[in-house]
Amino acid sequence: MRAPHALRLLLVGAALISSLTIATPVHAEDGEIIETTGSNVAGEVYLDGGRPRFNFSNVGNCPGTMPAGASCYVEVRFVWRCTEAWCVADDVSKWYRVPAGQDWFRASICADGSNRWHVDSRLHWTYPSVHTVEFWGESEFNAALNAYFLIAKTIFDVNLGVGAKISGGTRMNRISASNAVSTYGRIASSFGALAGPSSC
Amino acid sequence: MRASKLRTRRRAIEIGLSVLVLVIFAGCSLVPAAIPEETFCDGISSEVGGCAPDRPSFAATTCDEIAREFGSQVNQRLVAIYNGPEERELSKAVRATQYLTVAASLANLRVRNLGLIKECAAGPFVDVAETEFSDDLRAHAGEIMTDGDPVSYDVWRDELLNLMALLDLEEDAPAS
Repeated sequence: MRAPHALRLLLVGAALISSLTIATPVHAEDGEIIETTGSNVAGEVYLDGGRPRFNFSNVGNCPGTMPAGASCYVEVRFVWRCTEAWCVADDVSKWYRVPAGQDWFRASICADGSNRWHVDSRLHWTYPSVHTVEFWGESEFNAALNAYFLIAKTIFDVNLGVGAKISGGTRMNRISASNAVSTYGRIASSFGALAGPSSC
Repeated sequence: MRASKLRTRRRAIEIGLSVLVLVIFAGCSLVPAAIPEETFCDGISSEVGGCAPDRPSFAATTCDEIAREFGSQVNQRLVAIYNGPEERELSKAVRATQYLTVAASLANLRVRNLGLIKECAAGPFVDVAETEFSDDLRAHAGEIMTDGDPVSYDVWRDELLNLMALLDLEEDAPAS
């Protein structure tokens, strides 16, 4: 009789801890730091020759809201996790640089088709001098994950007063720098396990 | 009496083991992985290598000399990245881009601190820097510019020229 009691205690404790660790606030289906036209851009991760690939809206260089003289480089990374209930930790790839204007990217890694895949993106920028830059976001409902997530959407240059803030939105980040990277946002998802081969 | 003692001892062991497992589980799950805090050195984020001990440095006092220092350091590091191993967190293209931009930012800062910004222009700066580029860099720079298809040296050079437009803009801005 004592052993089941101890087991119950163990399970309750484990469930409590799991509920705290699973709720990581990083999922979102579109991150519009790259695509700044205001539309909700959600890419879909799929397999191409056994490797994860996605399509997105790449502005090609700096978003139009950034001032002349800025140089920008779009970076992406792949994030994956197994789909079983006990999978609570992500694996991540290295950051890759996407060619300017290329509206797709395929990683050199092989994709395990049984995993759920996401893509994060961030923007590396340089200015001639230190500028204070704000990243603004909004909460959006993600039906696939049944939750709201804060998504970075626009950039505002405080020094020059150019760019965009979001009325009713949230200021996610404020950086004073001449050379830095943005907050990263999630721009694509496989919305579940990928269908396809597990090796390439 | 003896049976009761045994039961009590067994229960204590069970509870002790349960607590131990919970502590281990909590320890693994709740302690966040150490994430290095972002700092800024001369306006450059540590995320892009702005605070790295081996970041580029400039001691020259003229525009042409700074350009040569820039070219020499960029040549050495980019060739090392191209010939070196892959790293876990950043692709070779991201590492090469970060080094190039940090070198450009620090060269720009040096030029501004010396009061040379109105004398230095991107075109002549790149022309001088290019004299320090090895055949190895010219042959392979386009292969680590992005993680897409390789590009020619001329395309890579055009991007460098665009980056060095730092020297042509905001000429009245403070150095940092």
